Formats: sequence, structure tokens, C-alpha cells
Amino acid sequence: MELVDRVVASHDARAFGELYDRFVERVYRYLYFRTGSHPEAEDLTEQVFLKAWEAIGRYRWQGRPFLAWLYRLAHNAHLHYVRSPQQTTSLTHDQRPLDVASHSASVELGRALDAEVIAGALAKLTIEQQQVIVMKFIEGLDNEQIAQAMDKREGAIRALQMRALMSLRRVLESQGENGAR
Amino acid sequence: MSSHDDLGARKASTGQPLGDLMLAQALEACIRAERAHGGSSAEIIEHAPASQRAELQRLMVLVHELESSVHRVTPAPEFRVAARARVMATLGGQADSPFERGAHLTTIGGPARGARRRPRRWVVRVGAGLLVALMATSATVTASASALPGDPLYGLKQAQEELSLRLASDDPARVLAHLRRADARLDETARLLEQGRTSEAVDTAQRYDQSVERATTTFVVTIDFSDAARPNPLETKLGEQQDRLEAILQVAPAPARPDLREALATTERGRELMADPRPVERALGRRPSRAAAAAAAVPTSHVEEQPTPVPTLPPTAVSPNPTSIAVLARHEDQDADLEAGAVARASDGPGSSGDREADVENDNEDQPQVALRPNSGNSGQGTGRGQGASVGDRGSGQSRGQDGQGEDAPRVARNDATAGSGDGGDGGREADAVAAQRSPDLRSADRGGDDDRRPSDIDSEQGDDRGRGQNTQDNRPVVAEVTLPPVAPATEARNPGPSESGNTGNAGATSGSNSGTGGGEGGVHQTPVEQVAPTDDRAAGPATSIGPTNSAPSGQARATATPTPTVRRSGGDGKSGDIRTGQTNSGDSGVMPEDSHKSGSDDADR
Repeated sequence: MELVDRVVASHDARAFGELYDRFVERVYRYLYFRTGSHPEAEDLTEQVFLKAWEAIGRYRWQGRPFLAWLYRLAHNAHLHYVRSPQQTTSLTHDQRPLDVASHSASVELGRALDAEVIAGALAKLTIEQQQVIVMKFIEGLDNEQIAQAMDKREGAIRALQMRALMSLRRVLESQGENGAR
Repeated sequence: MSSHDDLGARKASTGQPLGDLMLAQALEACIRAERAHGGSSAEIIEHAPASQRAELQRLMVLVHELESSVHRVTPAPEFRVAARARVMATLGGQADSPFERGAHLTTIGGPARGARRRPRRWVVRVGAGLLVALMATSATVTASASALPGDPLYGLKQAQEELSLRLASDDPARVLAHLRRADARLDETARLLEQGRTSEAVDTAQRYDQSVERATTTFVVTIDFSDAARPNPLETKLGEQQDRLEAILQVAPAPARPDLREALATTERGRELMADPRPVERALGRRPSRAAAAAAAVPTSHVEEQPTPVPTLPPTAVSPNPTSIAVLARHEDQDADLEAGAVARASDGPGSSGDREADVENDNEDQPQVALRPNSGNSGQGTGRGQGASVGDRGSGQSRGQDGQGEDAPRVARNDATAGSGDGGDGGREADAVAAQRSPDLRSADRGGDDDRRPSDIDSEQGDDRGRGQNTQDNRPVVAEVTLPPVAPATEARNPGPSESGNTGNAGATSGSNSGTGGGEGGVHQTPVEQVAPTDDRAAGPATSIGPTNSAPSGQARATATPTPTVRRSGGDGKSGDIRTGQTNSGDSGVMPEDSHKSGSDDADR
């Protein structure tokens, strides 16, 4: 990661901007599926990148892939957000209005609904199950990368993803929108 | 992977856990196969155990749903742009110090909050306090500049002057600091006289005198004579002080005038010496030049109520071959070097100028302190010459005659300052200067009480002290006897007319002027007073001087040194420093001091 090296070595803000462009969508997606909310995902995404700039000196020391390190930051930001007493009460899946403005295209409506359903179901899972589901199937990482991001062994990740998928399926089935369709 | 297989095998006996592990492995294989080739997971499912096939199919459908939902979730373009702008703005504020403490994550909607940091309050307070203290100190120091003796801020004024002396980076800067100090004293003198505080004005004038002397001494000892030809701003400064002193003297009350005249004379001498320091140059051995000796400063006498008497004898021109050299004493063994420490020299000129070389410090009290120059029949060209030119410098000097027989008289080195005096007094300054640097005892005898002077500054104090006879150290008369061979003509050391009277009582300061008798040829007619270096281990105040001894005992030379008070200047009050080249001698001497210097230096050169 030449860009990362430039940022670490010389604190090059412009290089960090390029990193932002490259990874902001994946971080946002991760956080969206973790929070189930676009506004919250946006806020947390911005915080993650600011935190990354602040803590970039520790990145090389940890020696992880930069994306895995970003997911780690996103995960911590989400945890902080969830545990924060000032957290605004998230609307339930049913109460959540459709963000038509930000997804103006009507063709996107169905996809957004699907994504929101999945995000709502993921919220029922444990933190680790959410992590592995999002990283494995939303972000497309392999087990080795997930293991690095979660500080676990690959065998544990494999078992964890199976249990997470089974749990998610049960949640979706219970909500009437199971994955069997 | 094999480890997990082993783990699965171990858990096979437990039933359900083994089934979960096998299902997880089959699921992972299906996911990999599907990512590699779409639809390829069906084959793996078919080969899976029948109990797991339905579950695997349902899970793979869910995986497809999840992976297909990825592209449905993207950040809004407006968010991407706005968030990037906010992040980069924050980075711009922290780009220089991304790891600086205090840089916090911005919260929602406020990414730039952490970018601006106010100075810490304690920093502001401390800075303000320091500024106030600095302003107060500056105001106090400024106010102290106009303080007079007795004022509360006068101590601060002096401390500031001392500080500027200590902080002087080099010798010229030190000289300038001395002159500034002298300026301050002069200003104080004028103001005190205006206020009718005559006694304090007198004291201040004396301190002005000291400062000028220190400046002059520092100048002549440390100046780079290669630059002597260039305009000297220090001389200009002294000229200004001289003009001001003259103006003050015109309106000064009678009780203050003697000291003001002293100060004026000091200023004049310093000015002249700074204008033409070449005699000092030669005395210091930096650039021997006989012609330079003729350029010695001539004292002036204007403004004096009683001008310095005109010398009764014209200044003796420098002559490479003196017509007469007095031999103070002759050793029995003419080839033998002197064992005595002091140097007695003859001067072919009517030397009478005050010099402080009589203040030579001799560390060895056991040594005979009168060096009687063995004359080996040469034409009186032998002379004591201090190589080290250092008072108290053991063994660094030489007694050198033309025949070279005096080269091995180490003890003369102790009194090598005397040799410097023979060079016309300037060497004596240098000798004193070096002596002051080497001998802390000398500093203790400093009358000024300024213990912070640098070595180059103290030298003038030394000379001054000695010249004024204020040295508290013991002055030990020295008598050296040397038996001369009967065949040798009686060596005589005489001080011709004016010199005799002039040197009487001027021993301490004028000994140098009469030095140079050491290597003289016997039977010389015109022999000044034999000067004997003091034997005092400390800076002896009065130098021993052999008076107008007309003759030495036949076959023997007996040099007797008797401490006598120092009288340096005309109208002398016993205060004048002996370092002043060209200063007028006691009025009756009638000889320009530079004459004797020239003579002496010439002897030395020879």
C-alpha cells in the first residue's frame, strides 16, 4: 500500500484523501449493515476516517491490512455508538421511514428495502456474528482477512460464519422474509 | 485446516458438534466454489451427507441474498463529497501534527471542531506574567541609568556595568565597556558637581580614572597592532571624554580640580597610547621596530594650572649604539651569569619616567634580588630582558647580553618585568598584565576592589596599585652584593642630575625608567639611577631604587634597594598609575618619560 506508506511516513493528507476515496464505500456499507441506518452509517463513517488519520501511526505497528484495520476502527466506532448513552434510539425496522430522498430512483426502492431488511435482521445477531456476516458476505473478505480483523483463527471464523448464517436465516424467517425466497 | 479436521474428528464422538463442524466445512467449500465459479456449489451439496444437503441449500440461498444486497447499499454521492471535504478540512488543521495530543475525533456534524485548539490558559497567564516582569525590569534598568552614587538604583547601575563587562565577547568589546563605564562616571562627576557634592564627585572622578586606565591597559595589551593604522574609535571616545573633562575642569570647584586633572591626564595618556601603541608593540615583542619607539606618546599639559615642566634635557634620540652604558656591578666571574633575580640596567638617557616595573613580583625570596649584570667587556649592550615579561614568572626570562653570556640566568626571569620596563615602560605594562593573569595575589592587592575584572583588566589595577604605593604587601628591600674583580673598573650607576632628583622617591614607579643598567659597560658617565626590581613576592608597591649612587665600591658593586614611595606624576599625589607611557615625571626630573623608555627599549633591543 503505497498510499498508506505515504500517509504513515509523511502524514500526507492528500494521500489520505485518496485512501478515503478508495475505502469509504466499503466502510459505509459495513456500518450500514451494522447499524441499519444510513444517517448513522454516514456519521460513523466520517468518524472512522478521522480516527484513522489520528491513529495512522499505530497502523504499521499492528501490521494488519489497511482495510482490516479500517474495519476494526469501524467496529469500535459502532460499539462506541451502540454503548453511548447519548445514542438516539434507533427506529425499528418497521418504524424506519424510507429514505426516498437519498435514494430517489424508484428502481432503487426494492433494493433498499432488501438491504434494510437484511440490516434489520443483522441487528438481531451477536456482535461477532454481525461482523463475520458483513465482512464475509457484504465486503467479500476471505476467512483469513476476517480472522485478522477479528483476531481469531480461521477455524473459528468458519464455525462462526455458519452459526451467524443460521441465526440470520432464523431471524428472517421469523420476520416473514426469510432467505428461502 | 488440518487442525480443524483433527478437532472435528475428536468431536465426532460427541455427535452434534461434529455435525456442525462438518456443516461449517461444507458451507465454506460451497462458498469458495460459488465465488470461484457461479453454480459450482451444487456439486458439493450433492456430495454432502443427506442430512446436511437441505441446510446447505438454504444457507447458500441466504449467502446469495447477502452478496447481492451489497450493491444495493452505497453511500449517497452528496455524503461522499461533503464527508470528504469535512475530513480533509480536519486533516488540514492537523496535518502538521496528526499525532498531537488533544486532537479528538469530531462528532456528528462537527468534523472541524477538533481542528481548532486554543492556547492553554496557563500558557497565556505565564506569558503575560513574563511580559510584565520584562517590562518592569526594563523600566528599572532604564531608570537606574541616571542614578547617582547614593541612589537606591545606583547598585543596579553598577551591576549592569559589570555585567556588560563580563559579557564582552572580546578585548575590543571589553575596552569599549570600560570606556562606557568611564563615560558613566564622567557624567556622574559632572552632575555631582552641579549638585555641589564635591567629595562624591572627587570619588567618582577617581573611579573614572580607573576605568580609563583599565580601558587603556586592556587596549595596549590586547590590541592587534596590525590594525593600529586604522582609525581607532576608542581614541575618539577618549577624545570626547577629554573634551568633556576639560569643560568640567573649567567650572569645577578648587577641591575637585586635582582629581579632575588626574583624570584628564589619564585620559590624555590613554588617548595618545591608543593613537600610537607602537611602543607597546615593541615592548610586547610582537613586532620589533626601533623606529616605533620614537613615536611614543608625548604627554600634554594643557588645562593644567601648572603645566608640566619642560624637560631640562631634550629627549634622547634612539640610538642603535649607545654611547654609554653603565655597569652597575660586575661579577667576579665575568662570564658567569647572574644569580641575582633582579635586573639592574643602565640607561644612557636621563631616564626618570615612572614605570611600574619595580613592582616586579619575585616568588623566590631567597634569591638575591639585585641582578648585577656581568659585563664581559662588551660595549655595554647587555641588558636584562624578560622573555616572559611576566612578573612572578619563574625562569621564563633571560638576561641577555650582546655576548650572550647572560642567557643562562634563569633567576632574572623573575624580574623580567624589569626588562620590560627597560623597554620603555610599555613592556612593563605587559609584564604587569601577564603578571596579573598569573598571580592572583596581585589581584588581591587591587585597590579598586573590583574583583570581577578580567585579567587583562586587572593589569592596570596592579600597576596602579603599585604606582600609588597602596599595595598592602610587604616590600622587602633587596640588597645584592656581587664582588667584582679588582681589575675591573669600578662600575658606577649614576643618575644624572635631573634623574636623580626625579627618581628620588619615585622608586616604585620609576624604577623601570631607570632600568637597563644591567649590561652596561663599566665606567660610563651618563648613568641613570640604578633601578632594582623589587623583591617582593607580591606586587610590591614601592620599587627599590638605588639612588644616585655615584660609584660602587672598587671591585665590587653593591646595589641597595630601598623601598621608596611612588610618585608618578607631576603634582603627584601618589595615585598615578605607572603604566602610563609618556607620563610626565615628577616635575623636577624634567625628562620626558618616553625618552627613558626609548632608551630602555633600545637597550633591550640591543
